[in-house]
Amino acid sequence: MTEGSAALDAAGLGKRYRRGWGLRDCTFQLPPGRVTALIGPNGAGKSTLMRLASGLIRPTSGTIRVLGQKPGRKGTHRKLAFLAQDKPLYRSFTVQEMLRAGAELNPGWDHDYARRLVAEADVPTNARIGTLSGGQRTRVALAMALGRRPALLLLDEPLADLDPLARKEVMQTLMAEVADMGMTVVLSSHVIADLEDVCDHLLLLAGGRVRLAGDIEDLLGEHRLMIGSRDLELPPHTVVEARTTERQATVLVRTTERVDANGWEEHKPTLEELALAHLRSARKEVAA
Amino acid sequence: MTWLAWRQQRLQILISIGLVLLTTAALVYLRFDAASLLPNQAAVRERYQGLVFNMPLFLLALPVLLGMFAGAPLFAREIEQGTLVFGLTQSISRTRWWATKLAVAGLPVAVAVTALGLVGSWALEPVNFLLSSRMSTPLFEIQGTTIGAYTVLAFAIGATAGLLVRSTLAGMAITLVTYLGVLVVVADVLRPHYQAPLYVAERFRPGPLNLPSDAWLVGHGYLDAAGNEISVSRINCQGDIATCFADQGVVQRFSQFHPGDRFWPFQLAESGLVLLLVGGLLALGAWALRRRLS
Repeated sequence: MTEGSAALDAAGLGKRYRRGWGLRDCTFQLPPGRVTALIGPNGAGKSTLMRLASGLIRPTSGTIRVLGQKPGRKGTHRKLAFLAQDKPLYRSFTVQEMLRAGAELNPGWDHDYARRLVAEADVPTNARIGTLSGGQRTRVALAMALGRRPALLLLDEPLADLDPLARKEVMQTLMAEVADMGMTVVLSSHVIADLEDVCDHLLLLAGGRVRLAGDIEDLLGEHRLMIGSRDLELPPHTVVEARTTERQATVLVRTTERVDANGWEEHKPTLEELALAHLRSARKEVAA
Repeated sequence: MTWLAWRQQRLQILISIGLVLLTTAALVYLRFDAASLLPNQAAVRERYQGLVFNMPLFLLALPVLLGMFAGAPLFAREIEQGTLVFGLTQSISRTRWWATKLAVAGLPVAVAVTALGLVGSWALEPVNFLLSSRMSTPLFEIQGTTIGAYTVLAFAIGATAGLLVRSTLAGMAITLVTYLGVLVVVADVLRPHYQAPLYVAERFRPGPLNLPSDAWLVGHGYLDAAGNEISVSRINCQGDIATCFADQGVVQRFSQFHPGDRFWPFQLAESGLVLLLVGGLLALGAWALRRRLS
């Protein structure tokens, strides 16, 4: 990837809070036009990363570039929209007034588009935000983010506290708009199953550091999940994580070739298996 | 952004302005009614003695209440409800967001209260003879330009404290305490020195000082034959005070005071001083906005 073409570009990025580092020494590039799964346990630095990108907080070290520009004091990059985890909206406003606020604050606001998204969600425009259900609130918040016509959309745990039906509807809306607009999207979640079907790029954070980054298909192709008897010798490859139960061993190794080790059953891992193995191994490193 | 700030604050602004207008109307009524009774001072005294005693306390509380309720929640509530994140992730600069909110919430109330103060000075003219000097607390702070300046001060304390401590309630408490502290320090420590007081020395005699009724006495004492200030004890005096003081060496007494016609220069000086303080508070708020927020 050439310099400046990344939607999000971090170099040595770090953010220290009073209680310690929230994000440390992160270097990665997110390619444009992709849907990135930002995965990590609670406190891994997912929200910190999004707040740095949207200019809410300043890095302690390193740099972050949004579509080639460093976040400044002039508000969030015009082509970036950020939907925070608690979906902040003015509770006493009606939906219509909320949309007007979007128009007031954003020169590039697409009012018809935002109105259409709200109408499609069956949210009455004269209802007060405070009276909406969780699902409706999320749909309005999503319309507020998409109304800015972003090229990069950051969604922090957008599905948390939604019921399964609402999760599905929100995701469908989102993916339909992503396909239409060709946006770059970063979706964070600690529920990997939510992301498995929609994401094609992965950024795995643990303890404030990047553990794994890249195209999901490539990453899955570079790993093999080996299952065999616990007495078998470990395969001669880079072992990400090995777990044993009373009889069986499950080992994730990093290799591009078939392992073909004697007695081992070999699988391509799922995203969840891959992510969890890396997260567990990160936790062991910290513990050690 | 102006519409948004107005939409967020409109209820508060309208209630504040309504309250100020009611108070102004009451003062205008007082002016005309008292003026119609004059020159019969006894009739004015009979009708307005009680009101004129209580009203200054109400008018002294008004700026801090208006400023506190408008200022402290302005940013603190946005922080508490998380909507700060919405406001700061749009295509508008942080400084403009902050300044617009301050202007929309603060200016209408500041203008209304300043008008109240100017009308108040005019409205109190017929009852001034009932009051002590209007250059001392609380009469000085509740009229002229100072009442508006103090409202802006309470507002600025509230807004900046809310930004720093991120809590509406704590912001309000800080506003109340800081405001009262400033009020006391300015009135007791600074105001007497806006100009050198006039000095009058006279041959000692018991009885009240011979000063114009609208003068503000800021110091008095006793002099011996050589013209040095001496401290006098009243406790051991038995019988005639004059003799007792004379025995202690008192020859003259002096007073330091500001004449009543310094009211407006002092009003402007104090308003300027308070606005300077407001400038400092807003600068602190701007710093917090850049460095500390989120």
